[in-house]
Amino acid sequence: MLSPVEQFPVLVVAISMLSAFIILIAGRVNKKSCCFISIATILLQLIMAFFILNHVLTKGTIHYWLGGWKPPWGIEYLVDALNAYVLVIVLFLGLLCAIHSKSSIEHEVPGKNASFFTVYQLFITGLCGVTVTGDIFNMYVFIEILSLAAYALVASKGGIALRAGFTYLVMGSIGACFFLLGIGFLYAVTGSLNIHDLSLLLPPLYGNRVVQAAFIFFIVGLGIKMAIFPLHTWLPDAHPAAPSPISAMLSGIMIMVGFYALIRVLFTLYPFYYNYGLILLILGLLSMTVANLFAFFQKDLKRLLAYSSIVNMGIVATGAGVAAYILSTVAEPSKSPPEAASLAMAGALLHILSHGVGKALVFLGSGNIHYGIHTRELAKMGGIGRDMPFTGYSMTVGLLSLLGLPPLLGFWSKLLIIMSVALAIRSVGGVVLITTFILFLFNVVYAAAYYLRVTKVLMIESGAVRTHEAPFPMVFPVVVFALFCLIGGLFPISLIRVAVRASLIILGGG
Amino acid sequence: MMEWLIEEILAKYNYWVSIILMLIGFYAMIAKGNLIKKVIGLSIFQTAIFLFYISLGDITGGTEPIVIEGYKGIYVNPLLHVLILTAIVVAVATLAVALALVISMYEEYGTIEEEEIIEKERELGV
Repeated sequence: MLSPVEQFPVLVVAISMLSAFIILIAGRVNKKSCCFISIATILLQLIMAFFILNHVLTKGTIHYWLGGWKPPWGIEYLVDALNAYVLVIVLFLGLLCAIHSKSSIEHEVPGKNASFFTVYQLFITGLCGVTVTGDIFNMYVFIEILSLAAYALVASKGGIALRAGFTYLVMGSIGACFFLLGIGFLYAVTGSLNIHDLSLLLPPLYGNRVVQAAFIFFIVGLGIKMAIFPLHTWLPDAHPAAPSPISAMLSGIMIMVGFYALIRVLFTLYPFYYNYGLILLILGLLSMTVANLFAFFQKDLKRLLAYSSIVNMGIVATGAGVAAYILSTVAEPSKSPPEAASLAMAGALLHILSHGVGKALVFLGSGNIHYGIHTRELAKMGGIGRDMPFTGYSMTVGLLSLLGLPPLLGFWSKLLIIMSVALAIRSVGGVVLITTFILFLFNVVYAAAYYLRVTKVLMIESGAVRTHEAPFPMVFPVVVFALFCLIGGLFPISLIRVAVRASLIILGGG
Repeated sequence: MMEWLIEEILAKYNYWVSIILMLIGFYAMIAKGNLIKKVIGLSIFQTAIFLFYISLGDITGGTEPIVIEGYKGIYVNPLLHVLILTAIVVAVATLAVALALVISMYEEYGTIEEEEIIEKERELGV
């Protein structure tokens, strides 16, 4: 008999999907009720997610068999520290963005209340589904659910957003199809779809060319979803075009869920003999450098932030890449992974949280500014922070956290990654790690240039039209995120501890 | 040469057909400027993958997986059909969203050629 908490993984997904349809029906009766249903559902899901995280950390992994069918025949929902950690971030951001949507949707996409929240809820369903599932085909289906919702949400403002949404749809579908093809290849050689079962069946087949081809398809397919360097072209168009709470969700967590899917698939199914550590490292460093160069010259605030998302995706990929690279250099895989590897992975995972919170904050803040003065151009925003004090100061905190200024949250994740690289240089050495160290530091400093420029425009310069603060539901999430950056940065120990636990799971030492 | 042709191409023709279809779809998605043609390319691409899956599960002489008293022969793998049923639903939803976007773009700009849309966007000054 399963305890109630062990049933929560499936409930998190099911409730969310059910609520999407309830919202659609409720919207016919009363348009105002939609956002309250959505907020209540996500709050309930968030509470469940906290219970799941607590259960996973204290009592161990949750296995839920759908319909009672034992894996590998049935679909299994497998939740360990990593899933639960990502799930909590997804729902935390989802809740605050839903609250923000309450007011900002009437401003940005007027009259589409019911349909917006329906699709938003489906989007949350997809995000939760990808994180809790332990079945690779199920993962594909949820990735498609979340992507389809994302295409619709990106295009919801009409006008120029339509073409951005369409480009995103074409790119995203190619990515998903490649992922599907990879799954087909693995199924052809093993006859299984359960990730855990595959990890047991695959080792004798690593030399097989079909398995190698599947590896390439996974990297390209999920690389498009997570917008890593040569596959990032859809992101700078799609993310700014969406309404601000959606931009916050897309940039803050959706690409990171793509990253989660990639590390889950790669680190569980493939050994370090494929040396994808090096691939992730190179792609990560390239995305950082290239996107940084583009971000510097942007005049549109949301577009600048979209490029900065690619930079941060690069940071996360570099962290994971360093971890895999260090493991691949260890000749005999021992019981527990080397310290530097788990530190690098923990840094990457912590950066998912710190970037998610920081980026969601500034995107929501840009929504507040748009509410006030109807523009996204930086040049017209001089001194807006003085008229909108809550938004302005919160955004400053968010930008400084993204920059990595101590004692904010963003500092710790970058510190963990750079420390692990330094540790690894001492124990492993090699040109690759030294180059990583130099490029990483260069990018962190370079990124400061445009974060500080935005801060200066918002708080110090002058020239914006006089306006007043946005309504409460739009200010509240921004302030909560800013407080989270501050408090999380002052007391990071418990957050780092959870990230280390999650990193040990994925590196196979948990 | 002849043996290679038979072994690698004729014996595995199902895979070759799906690869060729996939590339046709891929080409249409990348090279065509007409949005509807892009959508058609996407559809071909997805269908090629379905074909690949279905042909994986098929066995010559196999029958549908229903237990028959006294039948000692072979069954085809039903799981792949089930997976593809799901994937078809996903593909239909993708097509629906894509076509909805194309329709609203047509209403907005009066054309479905990508280059003309970009030109009109530029004229509008965005």
